[in-house]
Amino acid sequence: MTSAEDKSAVLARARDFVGVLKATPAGQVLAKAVGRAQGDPEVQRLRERLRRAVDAFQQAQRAGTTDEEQIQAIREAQAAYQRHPAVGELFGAQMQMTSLLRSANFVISDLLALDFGQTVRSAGGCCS
Amino acid sequence: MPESDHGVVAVATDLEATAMDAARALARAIGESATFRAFEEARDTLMTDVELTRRLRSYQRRRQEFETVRSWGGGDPREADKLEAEWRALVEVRLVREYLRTQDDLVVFLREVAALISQEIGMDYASACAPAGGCCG
Repeated sequence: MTSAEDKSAVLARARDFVGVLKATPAGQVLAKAVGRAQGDPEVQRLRERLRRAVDAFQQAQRAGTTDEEQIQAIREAQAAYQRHPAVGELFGAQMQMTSLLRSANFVISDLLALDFGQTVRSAGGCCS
Repeated sequence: MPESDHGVVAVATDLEATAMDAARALARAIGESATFRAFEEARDTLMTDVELTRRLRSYQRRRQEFETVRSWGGGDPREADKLEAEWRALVEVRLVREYLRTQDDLVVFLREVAALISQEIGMDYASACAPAGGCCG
């Protein structure tokens, strides 16, 4: 259990880091793209369809009962989501930010001798 | 490149360098926390036991292989039993228990940090940093 003092010191540094990221050109493009995608009801509907398809697959995966139909449902939901122009714009913006985040993750992980990004991944593994 | 573009590029580069400095400051703050120090100590102590470290790595590798096979509907139940027995034996060892306990505390803490970053920038930090070629591409 982390002490309140440690937590507050680390979260303050995390906020500083985020503040600088947001000020970069990649951060500004991303903020606009996120705002556009979040404000678009069609994007939200497509995203929810994809989420439900992934959930159904993961549940089947845990039970050991996955089938081709579920994989196809994910592929179709993913394709429909990715075809939306606001999502395309969002992905482009995320790619720029990804490059910055990977560099930062390398810096953080190197100092801690532990892969920060890998450590915080959800237990569900990929696609979750 | 026109002169004004030079200016834009310079500002972007400066900000990116500042972001890396901020990342370093974040890492130092994490490194100074009692949660991280406890984990580091447990990890270092565990690593001094070569045989135990080898067993733990071997278990983790076999477990991962088994989970992969199982997720596609396969998996030998005898291997599941062997893994279960090996896990029970491993957690009997105090150094392993201490390592796992401090690691759990650290993961909870670091997830909170990553969640703040993800929420503020509007994309998932862990997914962005995942190695290329993962199943979510």
